Amino acid sequence: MTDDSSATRSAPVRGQDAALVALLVSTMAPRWRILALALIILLATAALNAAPPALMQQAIDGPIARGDADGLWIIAALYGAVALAMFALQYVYTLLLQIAGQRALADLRMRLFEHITRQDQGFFGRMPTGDLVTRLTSDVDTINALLSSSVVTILVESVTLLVIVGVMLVVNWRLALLSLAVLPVLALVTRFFRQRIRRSSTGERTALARASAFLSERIAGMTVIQLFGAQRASAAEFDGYNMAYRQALLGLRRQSALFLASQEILSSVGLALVLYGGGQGVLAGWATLGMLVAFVQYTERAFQPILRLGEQYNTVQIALGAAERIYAMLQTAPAVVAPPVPVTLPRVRGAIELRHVSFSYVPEEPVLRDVSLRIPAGQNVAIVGATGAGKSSLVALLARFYDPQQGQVLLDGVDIRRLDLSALRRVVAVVPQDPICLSGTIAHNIRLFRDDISDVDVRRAAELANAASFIERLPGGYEFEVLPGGANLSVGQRQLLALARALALSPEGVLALDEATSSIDSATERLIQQALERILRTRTSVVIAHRLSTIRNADRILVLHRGKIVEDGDHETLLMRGGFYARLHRHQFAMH
Amino acid sequence: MKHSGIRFLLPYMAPYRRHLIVGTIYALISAAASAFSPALLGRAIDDVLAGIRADQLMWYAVGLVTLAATLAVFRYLLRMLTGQIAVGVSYRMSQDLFDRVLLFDQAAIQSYGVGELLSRASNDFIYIWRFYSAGFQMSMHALFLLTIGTGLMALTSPLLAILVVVLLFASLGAQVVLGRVLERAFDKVQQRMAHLSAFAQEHLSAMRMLAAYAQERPMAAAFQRRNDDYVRSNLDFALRSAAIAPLPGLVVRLAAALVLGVGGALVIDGTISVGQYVQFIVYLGLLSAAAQQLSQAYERLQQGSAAAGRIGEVLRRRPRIADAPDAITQMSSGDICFESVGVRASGDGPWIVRGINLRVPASATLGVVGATGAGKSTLLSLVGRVRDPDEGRITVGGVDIRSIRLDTLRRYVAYVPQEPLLFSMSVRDNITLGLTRAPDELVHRAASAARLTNDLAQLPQGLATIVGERGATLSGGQKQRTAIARALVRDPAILLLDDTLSSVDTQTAAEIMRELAAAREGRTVLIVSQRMAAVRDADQIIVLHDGRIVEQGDHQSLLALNGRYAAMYRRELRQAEEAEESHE
Repeated sequence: MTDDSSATRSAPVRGQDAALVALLVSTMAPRWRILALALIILLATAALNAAPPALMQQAIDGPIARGDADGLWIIAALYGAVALAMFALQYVYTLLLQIAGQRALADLRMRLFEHITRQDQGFFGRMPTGDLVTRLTSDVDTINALLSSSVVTILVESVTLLVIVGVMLVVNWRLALLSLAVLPVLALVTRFFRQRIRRSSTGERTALARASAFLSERIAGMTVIQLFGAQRASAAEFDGYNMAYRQALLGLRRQSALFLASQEILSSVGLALVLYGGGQGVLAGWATLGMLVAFVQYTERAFQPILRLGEQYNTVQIALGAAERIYAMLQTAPAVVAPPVPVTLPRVRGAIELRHVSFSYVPEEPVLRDVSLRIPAGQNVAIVGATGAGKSSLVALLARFYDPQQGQVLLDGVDIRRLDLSALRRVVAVVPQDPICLSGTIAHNIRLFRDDISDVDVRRAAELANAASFIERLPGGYEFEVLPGGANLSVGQRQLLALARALALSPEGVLALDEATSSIDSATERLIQQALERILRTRTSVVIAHRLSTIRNADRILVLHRGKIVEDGDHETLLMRGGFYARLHRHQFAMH
Repeated sequence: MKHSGIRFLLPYMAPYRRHLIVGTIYALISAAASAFSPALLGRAIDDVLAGIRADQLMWYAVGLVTLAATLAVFRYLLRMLTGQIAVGVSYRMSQDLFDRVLLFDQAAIQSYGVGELLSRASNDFIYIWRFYSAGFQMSMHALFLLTIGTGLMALTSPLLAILVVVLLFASLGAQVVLGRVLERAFDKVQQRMAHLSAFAQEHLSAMRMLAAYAQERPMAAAFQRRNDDYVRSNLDFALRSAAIAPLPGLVVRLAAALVLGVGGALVIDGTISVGQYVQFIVYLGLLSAAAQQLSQAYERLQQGSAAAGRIGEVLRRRPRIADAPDAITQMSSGDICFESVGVRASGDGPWIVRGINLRVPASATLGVVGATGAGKSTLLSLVGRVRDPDEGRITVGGVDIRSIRLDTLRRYVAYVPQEPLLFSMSVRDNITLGLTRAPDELVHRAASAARLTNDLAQLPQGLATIVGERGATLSGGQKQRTAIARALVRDPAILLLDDTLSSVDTQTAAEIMRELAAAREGRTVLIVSQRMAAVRDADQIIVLHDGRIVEQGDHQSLLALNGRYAAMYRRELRQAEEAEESHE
């Protein structure tokens, strides 16, 4: 549901509007030559709007009055030529504006997309993906509509109004004043109705949003409605929303129908004034018949800009709302940025060190408290602890998804904030708990967008991850098309694929793995365990462990409790110590 | 586009026959008022030329305003009248649509998808509204205006009238034909937009993984390609539309040039007067606007009829799970029997479960376990007739449940699905869903049995607290317990729990199970669970594997069997540290 951005947009702050204008200007500026040319052509076209009635006046007062048929045809030909010229000119300026505008908006969209992808993980936690997509698609398109339609309409109609009023005053100021007398009244009436229509339309959209929200919830939950026999109550409730929406719709229609009716009457009053005054002018000799006819048409043409300019108000407000949201997003600076001059690690060994690391997502709610830790290259570490103990956060810090508020994380003795982000993430592979699949082939899911990874490497990674056997059984093998979200793969297959991906994209260095808790079939589970054992032999690893076998195989177990490492040692040592780990271990068997 | 939609609209229009007749009269009056004003203007000009008196000129001015006022009043009436028809028809029709969806079984809803049904129930009605409000209203007015205007022109000068009409229809035809070209280009724009948007949606939601592998830059390049595709199609559309959209206007202007010449020549000849000449020129503007309205109205009528077709298709659809005409309204307790039951994934897809033969004695508890996708939920959903088996039958007390009226069966059977579906209303209303009167005492007892009482104390307004959309303001465990309370408040004879306690911590789950056992006197309970702990006390446990029952018995005998159940049970013990974790 598109909410009414015009209504929700706060009263414009001057400074903010200036910033928005700056955004629009900076988007369009690189194409100012095309735009300037388009503008000149556009103004010329608008000025031509005054020509047809003038030509008609010439025809009536000149050749027709004189009975000069040849002269008449010249004017008729001129009239046709003006029509063709306006058509051609309009096409040319639209062409120019579209080329400049569309390219500029593509640039804006790209700039926004790159900006979003540079954000840290905290940003993605805060912003729903749907909002980001709306920014990239409909918000950018709304600005497009503003530039290609509203701005053009506003310019064309304003110029037309000015030119027509000017021409009328020059041709016959008395007739001009008569025919323009209605315009201020029309402007006032327009204002009056615009406000009422805006209010009604807000009410209509709210009612529609309520009805749709109701329907969406009830249709999605239809089984429950039926199982519990709530059909009649739901129908009655829908009746309320349905009726409210239809009434709101009718209310909106009443406002716009009244507005149209008053326009029709006012326009006829203008016409009647011209006829009465102009007729007297013709009789008295201060106007000609041609003028009278031309002014009938000028009056009608002068009405249009006032109506159409009023229509633009909403579009402009909505577009400014969209621009404001895009601007706000472009102002969001990522919390995690690569250093301007990064240190390069010649060859990664995989030694990790945390020095007095404290970290929190929300101030005052520390997730990790003063953690210091040294993991030599090649060591396999299992982290255990309760939900919320800080296990995932610790892993996230290793790949610099976040920066700690205090302390440092070092890789091979270098603070990871001094390394290039991409380089760091190539040597610290993080395999999330919930394996993510993209739509596309199996091969694409393994190598992602890294086209430099050969098919051979993709296969090798799949074999190493024990994923090759299931992939080869799929129709098409590595070319098998995975549905969005991996819907046509089982959970276990997705986990194998995620492992293969980690090996292909980050063949050496640190492997940080969040072991899945979800139940998968035992055969796949064994495959994963085997693959892990094989892989971990050669790499430094940090595994958030949920399975006893993983914990037992680890060189070292870290027990996290409320953001602190409370125990550190191997399985036997920790069991003997009789502390937290021993309790944890004992308790699970005591329970059953 | 199909026109078949109209036949779905006709029955809805029947109550508005008188509105339609009155509307036609309104349209006739307003169109006539509009059509006579250029004639009046022409007469005025001729009189001016003839040297009319100033006070007589006044009457022409008054006449013009009177005609315009008549037009305004009757057009207003027509607009409101068509608005009323539109509102009445779409109100009735959307109510019928929702009533129909209320009868749909899960398969019917899934065959459309929730999004599609929602779009038919909301977006399509926008087109229905326009069908009447714009399409009907505009086409009536424009048609009458064109007819009367042409007639009046023909009275003055048949030659000029033919010229004007031919040119207008040429422009109208061009508009319709070229409109199709534009439509195709626009389809492409929307398709490209959908690609772009899907790409952004998928990749931004996987951003953590993509960032973990430093994919930002190559991914941006892939986005750029889609962005370029979109912009190119957009530009293509814009350029076509820049050429096509102003064409009708150009034709009218060229026609005006022709009328200017031909008409002027006729004035010079003395065939027509200057006033009549002006009259033609004014008509040209008026009628070209009417022609444009007619082409817009045509589009609205077409879109509306297509929308009506889509809505009608839903209205006509009969759900597969429905009451037989001779369905019985009585149900007695008794054993639940599955007799050679088989269910397919879809039409002639693979079997989800097959060959299920099973007797659950009245007041007994059955536990159903097995791997994900083994068919556990499917089996359970059959008893509540969320779906029907493709072969075999299910009986309660010897009666095939398909011969029992759905509302009777569902009063008797309470089914708590896997996902605890809550609606945005109060917790109390969520619990008493579908009950007309539920005493507070019953609600409190159900809440307490579902271990919800403590949570209620924490909610701002207790039972009266409005939960967010789909229960968003409650925790997973609270949602599940509310869903259980919803089932318990009805005191059902048969209770179906589909892995209902997965988000509830082990201890509370155990308490709820004890509570269910205590209140179970005479109640048959079927429990599907991922956790063996939840079913170990059941009288009977079945293990499903690949859609078949592979093991059956009570906890002890299945352990002794040392098969799948025993293996799963042992694995659960091994994985207990997970449970330990969620304990903290």
